[in-house]
Amino acid sequence: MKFAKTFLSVFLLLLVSSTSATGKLEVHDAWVREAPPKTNVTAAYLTLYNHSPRIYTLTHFSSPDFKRVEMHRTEQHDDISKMLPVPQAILNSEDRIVFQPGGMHLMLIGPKKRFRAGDSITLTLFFTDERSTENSIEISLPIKKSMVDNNQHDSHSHQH
Amino acid sequence: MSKLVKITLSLIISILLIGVAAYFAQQNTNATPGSKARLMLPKPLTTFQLTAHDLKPLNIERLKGKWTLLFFGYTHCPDICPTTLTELAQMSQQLPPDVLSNTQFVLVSVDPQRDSPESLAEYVSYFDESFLAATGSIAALTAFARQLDSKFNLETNPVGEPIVNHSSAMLLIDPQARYYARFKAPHYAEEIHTQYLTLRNSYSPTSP
Repeated sequence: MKFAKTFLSVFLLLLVSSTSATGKLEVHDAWVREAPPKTNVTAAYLTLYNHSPRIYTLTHFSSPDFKRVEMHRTEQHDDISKMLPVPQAILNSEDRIVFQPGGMHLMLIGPKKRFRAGDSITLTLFFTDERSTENSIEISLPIKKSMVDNNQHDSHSHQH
Repeated sequence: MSKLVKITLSLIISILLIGVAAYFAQQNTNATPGSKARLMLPKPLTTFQLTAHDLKPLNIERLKGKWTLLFFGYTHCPDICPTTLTELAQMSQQLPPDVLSNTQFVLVSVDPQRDSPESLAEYVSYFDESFLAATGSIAALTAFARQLDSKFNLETNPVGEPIVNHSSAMLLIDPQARYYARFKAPHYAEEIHTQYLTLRNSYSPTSP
């Protein structure tokens, strides 16, 4: 399907702040939708893999490029589309959490400037392990017009 | 009538009704693409008036003579609305020119407080310059949505920002301004493309 097509395996820096995190967390397919004009919100998508024996809990996010980052889930219920806040997400050992259009996503609110396809932004993921030790990962995500838009400047959307 | 007779009668009627419903449901699922999206009887729209992104009215007249793919949304929507608009833009690019020339795409914003026609103009043209957008008073939007078996509601989050919940189905309106088909979310370019072309090909303006 769609996701299989997109193997933009984003190379990331694992900046685990605590030495207690022995395990490997990997981020793949990370991207941020270029915000259309007249809106101050957009979404970040990624897949987070846990290749460690630990269980992690994603607690919150931050970005120097946005005022606020919130974890949300789009839900279809009786034909109504709703955006629900997700306070935290558990990431089991050898499991993954997928943030994707129409599902879980990171809502980015209040950009510090107008980001365009081809730019990138920084995002920090905060999580705790079983002992409540706080860790974080800082990643860089490319801005794209859409998930399949690998060549940002050859998009069907119009450049203004 | 004794109580027992009444109960028996209502039971029989219920079973009959279920049978009829099941029969039509069965008919409806015989899957040529789009067939299950089509309404059994197209529903003529009645008068409504919204304001389009070009500041002209969006009314029945503007829906006549073209096929219209329409959905409800708002610009401060980070996920579903831009995803759907991106898919629609991709779908419109793949339509044969003669089909494209009498197809219009409309985003109806149910967040009139934040979405003015002017800002909607800039927003939709980002996805495709031919796309239309419209909004109106809450009352006008509610009445219009109801005609399309759709709904929306506005809430406020703890920070005081509006949250907009809305129907996610895509509505197809025929060139006689009749509500003709309903595509359920999620919307993918290829699926809408196939369903739309199939429905057009089997369309006869005189019969339902």
